[in-house]
Amino acid sequence: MSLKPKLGLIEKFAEGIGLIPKLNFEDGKIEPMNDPGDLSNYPPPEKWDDWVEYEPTKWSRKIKRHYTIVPTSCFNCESGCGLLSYVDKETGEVRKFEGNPYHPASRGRICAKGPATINQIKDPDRILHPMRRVGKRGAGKWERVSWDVVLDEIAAKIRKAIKEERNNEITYHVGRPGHEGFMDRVLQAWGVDGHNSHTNVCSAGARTGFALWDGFDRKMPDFANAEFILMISAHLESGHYFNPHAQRIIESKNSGTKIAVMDIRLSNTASRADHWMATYPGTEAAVLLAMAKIILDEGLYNEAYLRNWINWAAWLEADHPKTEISFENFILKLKEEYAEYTPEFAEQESGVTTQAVVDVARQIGRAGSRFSSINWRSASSGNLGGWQIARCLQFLNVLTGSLGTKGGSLPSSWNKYSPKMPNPPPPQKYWNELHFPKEYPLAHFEMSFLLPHFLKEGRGKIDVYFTRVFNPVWTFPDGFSWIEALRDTEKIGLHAALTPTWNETAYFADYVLPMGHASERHDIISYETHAGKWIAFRQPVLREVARRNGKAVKYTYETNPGEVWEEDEFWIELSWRIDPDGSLGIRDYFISPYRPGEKMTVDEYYQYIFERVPGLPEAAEKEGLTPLDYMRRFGAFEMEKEVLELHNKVLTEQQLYESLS
Amino acid sequence: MFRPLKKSFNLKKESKIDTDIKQTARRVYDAPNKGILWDWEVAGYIFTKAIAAGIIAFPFLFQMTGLVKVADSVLFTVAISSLLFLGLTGILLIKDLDQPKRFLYVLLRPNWTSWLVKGGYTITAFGGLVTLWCVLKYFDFPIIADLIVWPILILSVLLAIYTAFLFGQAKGRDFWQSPLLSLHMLLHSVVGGSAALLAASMFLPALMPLVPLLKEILIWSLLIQLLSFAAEFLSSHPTEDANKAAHMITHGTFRTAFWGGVVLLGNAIPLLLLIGKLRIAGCSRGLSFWY
Ligand code: SF4
Repeated sequence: MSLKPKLGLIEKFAEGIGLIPKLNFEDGKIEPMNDPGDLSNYPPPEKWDDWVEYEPTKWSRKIKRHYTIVPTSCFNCESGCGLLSYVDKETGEVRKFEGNPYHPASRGRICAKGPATINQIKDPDRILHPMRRVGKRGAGKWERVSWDVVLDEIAAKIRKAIKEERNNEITYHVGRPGHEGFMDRVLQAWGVDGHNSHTNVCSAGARTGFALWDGFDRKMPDFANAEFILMISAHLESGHYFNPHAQRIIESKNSGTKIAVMDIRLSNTASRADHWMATYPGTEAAVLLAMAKIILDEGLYNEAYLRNWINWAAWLEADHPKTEISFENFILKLKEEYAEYTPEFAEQESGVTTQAVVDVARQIGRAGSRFSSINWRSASSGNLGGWQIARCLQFLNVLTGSLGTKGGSLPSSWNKYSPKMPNPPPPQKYWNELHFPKEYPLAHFEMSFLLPHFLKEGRGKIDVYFTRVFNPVWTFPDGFSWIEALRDTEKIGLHAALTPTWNETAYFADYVLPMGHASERHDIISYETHAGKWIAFRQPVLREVARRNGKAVKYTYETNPGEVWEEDEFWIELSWRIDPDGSLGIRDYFISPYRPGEKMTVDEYYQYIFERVPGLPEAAEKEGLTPLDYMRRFGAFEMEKEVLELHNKVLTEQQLYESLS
Repeated sequence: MFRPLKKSFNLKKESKIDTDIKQTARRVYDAPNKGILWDWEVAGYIFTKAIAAGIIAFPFLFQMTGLVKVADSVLFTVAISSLLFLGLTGILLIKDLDQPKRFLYVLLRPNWTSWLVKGGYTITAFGGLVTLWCVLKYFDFPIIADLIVWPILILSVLLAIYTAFLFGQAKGRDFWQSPLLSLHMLLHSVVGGSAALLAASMFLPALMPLVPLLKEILIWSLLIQLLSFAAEFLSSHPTEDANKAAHMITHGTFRTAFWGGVVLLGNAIPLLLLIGKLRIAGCSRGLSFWY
């Protein structure tokens, strides 16, 4: 259809004699877009210090607003996408959040929850001051207390427990950590085995399946370079790092990559699939095994990879001791092993047609080392034995030789940076059976959902219980058992809920401690989002603005709304007060790496880390900045663009030695 | 403060999609600037347009029908005055546009279904013919000049009432969907034209022969106008929004301007004065249009 409009006589004549400009639809040039300003996709960093936009609420009066733009990281899911906060220079108010185009993972494209951070920081119902329970726990009565009181009271209790060697009575229970390693360091410094998580109601099943293969419990599919992608469950909209992954998956699809999805729901993910396999829940493994059979039978496996990287000889020796050890025999026996998993069997089990199973299997085989797969997460977490689904899925990557390759699935830790922290404490010497009970030796994460039952059984008690981004009363199965345990002050001596907003679990706390949202706190973030490796900074933006304006800020709550604080500073302060005289040895781990004997500041902590990120000091120097200032200014740094085929790298003696230690 | 960035900074990443978007991006709409309520320019141009049409129509009509013998100098004066008011109308119309720079588009990229365009052409044709009439008169071609008087008269009626059709096309403005609107517009012109001429007669003795007839016309048109107000504001409107707008005028924000300015000062008092045979009809001019 032609978009070219038919011009009337008058218009033709007027254009002809130049009274009005010619509309040239052919080359798309209508009129220069010089009103309200040249269209730019996003503000370039050199203008972040003074970015001018028209005031949207006065639309369209063209009233100019000057913003200082401060990068931070979203905290509304595990992706940790880069955000830019627009702070009005006149009023000092955070006006909005947009994507940070210079963030290596999210590349400026964020989901709706990112910009919605503005609703969270302006939520009229948020908690603005530390609150202490009045009356019975769970009675819903509170009084406002100062941070000083909170720190002193909690510190005294922890100190007492540690001094009495009740180290296992201190628990930190977290849902979404949102940072790299800070809390592990704190708990180790205290010498407690106090970490508990939500993972066993979420990803632990799938993690187990992967970990049993190669020790890496998550995979980082290099979607961007894949030729064929198989996703189990609804990864595009609900997986970890879903947004950074989703944009790469869709880019791949747009350039010809085919996608298969196993999900009983016509999820957003399934809706983008070229092959949607609506498997009956929990039967995914049957389909995967049938695909493995097809790949084996039709010779689509990657022989070189299998020869090199599979302990096929050991398997033959163990399971078929009478068979001569040769690769050919290995394949032969493997085929026999999988003979029963026919496509017809898969159809019977899963409801996916034989034809679809064969079709997808062949495409996976043909994609070879460029086959990416992911299982996030319902198939594994929602079904008994779900860990086998992840295990079977990885088998396809093994057969096609697509582990660690470009376009394949990479071990997660290849693409994730572990920060080097100042003065790391030694691992704790305690084993907390409330978290890892002995009768579950294969538990891949804490048996967190059993915690209230263990308490009820009298297996132990918790003297100080921190919950953070964690609301088991609402989100865990059996919420009422949590209420019972939380109500019982004999079982849980003190409960401090670290949360920006009220929730059902905080209701049963002794202290409700308001902690900042994405733009009100410090964290570092590094996730496996693509084949590169990066690190990003979450920072309290108003504190950063104060710094830019030359105002001294000691604690983040000075610039946050009310007295909303952040965990980093809270833990440093708390640790310092747990060990006021240094006799417990805890203080040592919270001493400034730059000012001997003095308390570490949050700035010094991050300064230390950023100074040790490979390549960052050099990049910062080019900009005339310190590494910390570089991160304050740009919010993220990509240290490597491609981390691939590490398994093919020959290690030096030194590296071999280090890998053992 | 930031130190200025060195050139070497090269974090910028652009995917193919970014580049495509940039290449093809073009603005396809303009941000409307005018707000919800029409500004003074709209009321102003209805005012000037009513006079432009009315001021020429009566003398020309009287002359052509032989009702009154009108001097050539009077005809000439009203034609020039009409052109002046028409010019003012044009300026206000252009000023009212969101993109005044593009006013020529209205005529030169015409959308023939719009009364903005048809009205624009009406104004242009009317102005053109009046100018032509002046030229013909000036160079003494009376017969040809007389020939175009009737078209001028027809166009003056169209000039007076086309705004009613234009407002009618503004479908979201319920109050202006009234079937009485073209009558209102016509009355504006009749009142405006006759009142302006009566006021001018105080300074231009040549207009005196027209005064008795003009007075009668003004009295009757004011009466009908008051009745039409009654019809408009005492009856119920077909939609709730139209009712609300009417209520706003008679009881709300605009009630003082309406009752005091339009009804009392603009219509009732002039009417009483006229009936009382007092020759200050000119005061009815001006305030009759503000609602
Ligand atoms: S996908 Fe990104 S923007 Fe959306 S909630 Fe997660 S981190 Fe925030």
